[in-house]
Amino acid sequence: MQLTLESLSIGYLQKHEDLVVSDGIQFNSSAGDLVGVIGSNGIGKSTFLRTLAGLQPPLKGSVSLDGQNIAGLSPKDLSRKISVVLTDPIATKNLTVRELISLGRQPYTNWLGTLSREDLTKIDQVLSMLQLENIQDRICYELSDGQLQRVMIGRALAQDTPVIILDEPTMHLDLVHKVQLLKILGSIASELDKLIIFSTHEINLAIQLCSHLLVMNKNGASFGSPDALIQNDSLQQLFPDKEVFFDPKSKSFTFEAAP
Amino acid sequence: MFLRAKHTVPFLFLFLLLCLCFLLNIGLGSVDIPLSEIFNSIFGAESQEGNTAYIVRNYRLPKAFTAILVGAGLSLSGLLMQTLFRNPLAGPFVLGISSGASLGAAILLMGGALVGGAAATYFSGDVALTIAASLGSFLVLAVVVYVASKVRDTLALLIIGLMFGSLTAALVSILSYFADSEELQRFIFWTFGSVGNLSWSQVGILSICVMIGVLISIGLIKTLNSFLLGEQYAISLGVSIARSRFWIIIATGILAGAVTAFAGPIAFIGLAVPHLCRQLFGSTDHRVLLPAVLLYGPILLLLCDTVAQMPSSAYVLPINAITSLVGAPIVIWLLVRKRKMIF
Repeated sequence: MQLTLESLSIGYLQKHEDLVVSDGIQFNSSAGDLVGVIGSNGIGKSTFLRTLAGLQPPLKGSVSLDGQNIAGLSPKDLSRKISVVLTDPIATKNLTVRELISLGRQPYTNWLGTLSREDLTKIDQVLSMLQLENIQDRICYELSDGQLQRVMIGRALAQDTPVIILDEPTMHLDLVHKVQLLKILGSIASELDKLIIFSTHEINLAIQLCSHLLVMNKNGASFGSPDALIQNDSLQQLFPDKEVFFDPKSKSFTFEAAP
Repeated sequence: MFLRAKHTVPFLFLFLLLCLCFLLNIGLGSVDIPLSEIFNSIFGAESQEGNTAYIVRNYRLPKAFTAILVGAGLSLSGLLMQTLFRNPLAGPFVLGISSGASLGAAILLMGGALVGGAAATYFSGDVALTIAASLGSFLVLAVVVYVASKVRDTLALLIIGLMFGSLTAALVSILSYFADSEELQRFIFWTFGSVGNLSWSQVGILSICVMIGVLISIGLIKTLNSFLLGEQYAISLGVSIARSRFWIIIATGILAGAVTAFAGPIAFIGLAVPHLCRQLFGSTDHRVLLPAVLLYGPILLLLCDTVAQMPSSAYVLPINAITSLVGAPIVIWLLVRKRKMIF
């Protein structure tokens, strides 16, 4: 499975002039990669991920899976290729964990949404992989943020797609849960051979845990392994206002203490 | 996926309750008729043509069936709207859909002063009333949906629904100002709401409309379940939003429009019943909720109608008042008990 972006330009169609959020994004990624998307607030990470997931059309360029442009896929076919975990809260939390994860099987169920034996097996696998078995009958509004985020990842996993896209999955989580979550994502990518792309503000964690990074700044986007991006100065340019700077020795961002 | 044995008992309970309420509704009225005679009138030989048989066959039976259809139609349209807008307070009455139907009916019943009397009397048949009320509800629904796509805020949407209610009410009052007393009386009686006075052929038209609404909704069950996650997730699950929205609106418009045309604007049933069903079944799955509201809505309306006709007296209260007296406290109770209304 190979995801290819060609001179992708993202943004919003407007009456007079299109609002270009970011231009000329280009990369090539394959199953098993854990790709972190980093950049400052408002740079267009969410827009980029939504375009990638086919939730909004690109202004220019294309997103292709194994050489096939996703714009040409039917909604049903696309739903078997890409699953998402978004920042918007789900409309109702009045569902049990198991019910919520079961909804991920919709692309495979019949017109009434009846779960087959295969669907049930898949759901059980997801529950055990994410260690959600003991809370599977709890209602979602009772869950903590960390638990709910794992359940949402479970729903995406149940959708059984080669690509999973997550928008800021570490938001609202404490450091321990952030690390746990990113490790889970890493193991899903390597063990289940999936391509996982997520945006995050946890740059230091992303540098340590991701196989590739997409760094978005005002001048464009650069893609590569964390080490390559450190070498070619891309990370240093992430925050141009010198408030924080990248320290290549510790491979992390830091700031000057007040004098 | 969530259909489990635990739902069998509530379903059985609701079904028995529905049968009970049906018999109660037929049995109680301005004239006391013993149960045995009711059975005789319904199942008895055709030759039996006494007064009792006439009352049961041509007055009470169509009324009870109308109550069932109205209860089912309003509850289902409420469920569809709550899921479409993902808002626990949505319902045909709150979002101005019933007001839209009222406007349609008002223009037909009282617009004579504006378009010339002859045309109005010619068009004021039952089918015309159904079409006018349905068109009115479609119109308001379409505008509400358009506005909903512009404002993401659900609270704003409810306020807009209320404003549409006021707007149509204003138009209706202008129409009533110019209407003559006979037209006005006809319209006022219509707004009181009533499940009585329908002939068997009218019950037939209503049941066809409700049936169409139910069939469309059954086809939408899977989509409605994906809407529980929100629109973006629904898209990522392969749902075509524009198409689903279109069919949900069609179903809601037919259900709420036809019901309001025949029975007048009846408040709170559409809002309260879906919540009562979620409470009873502990589920938000539409495969459970859809049959549930189709049983629960009729029960509630049969009971309200039984109260409205004030057994053993010649008075009949406006059913709209009774449903509000019952429905408003239910909604307040749900809000207080759960603090936050979830859908």
